[in-house]
Amino acid sequence: MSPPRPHIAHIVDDSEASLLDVIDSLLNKGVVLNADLILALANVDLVYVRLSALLCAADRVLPRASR
Amino acid sequence: MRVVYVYALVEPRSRRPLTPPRARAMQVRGHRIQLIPVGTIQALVELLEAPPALSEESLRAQHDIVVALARRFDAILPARFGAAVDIAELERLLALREKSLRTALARVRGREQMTVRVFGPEPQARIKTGMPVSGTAYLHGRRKAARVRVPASGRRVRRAVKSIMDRERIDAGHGRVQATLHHLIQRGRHEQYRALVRRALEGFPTDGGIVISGPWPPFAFTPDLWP
Repeated sequence: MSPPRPHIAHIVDDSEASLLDVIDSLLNKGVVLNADLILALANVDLVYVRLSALLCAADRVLPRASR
Repeated sequence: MRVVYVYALVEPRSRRPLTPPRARAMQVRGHRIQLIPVGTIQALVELLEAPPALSEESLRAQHDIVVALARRFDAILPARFGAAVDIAELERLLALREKSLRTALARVRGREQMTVRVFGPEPQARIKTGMPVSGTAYLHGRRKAARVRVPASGRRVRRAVKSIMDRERIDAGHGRVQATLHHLIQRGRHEQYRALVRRALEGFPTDGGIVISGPWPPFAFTPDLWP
């Protein structure tokens, strides 16, 4: 059986911020001023705290492709 | 007790430290944002009773505020969500990193960020064939797994916008997002950027979609300042 043929690139222009943009920008990037991020989130959603902490750590540990 | 909630850092108008600190206030999307000098940097802050709780609404609200602030300042470094500090701590942190902050502010001056997400089929789960033989082998495996692989369509985008991009950051994908490309370009060139991406991918076969978003404040080009 032949593999499915790829489609032509479907391009979406998005001038509004998607939830992905918002999460990516505000939880994973930007100036980290102190650990209050974790404290501020701890009362709300522990899963997010772990995710955020992991992302912060991964930023510094993983090799960077290019900056 | 009220907390100082930091939205962003911006360039000072003067190179000299401004003491005693004098705040300048502005209304942004219903929030009273104050511009306060902290050493030789300035911070855009709001005095709050408590930091906002995490929710889609509060994330979107902060994003909108930072986007609006970026229109007022030529060089801006957004803070992450939840940056509630006391003023003495903020002064200490910014003083420690003043040089790198000023370098970063100069780098993003007059620039905006465009983001391209390359979507594709979700990778199939790998079957583990055994435990790694050593810690080094395990770490090599982790490093290999974390390596960013930019799909062909993403590589086309990179080539197409090379002439107008000042800086690039590529993030590894998760799930259906195969890679995320962030490009720092001169303010006002986002329409040209979009046109270049569209032209580069015209008729190009791919397994997934491409989402272009922006222009945004330079979230992806803000240095990591974790103490």
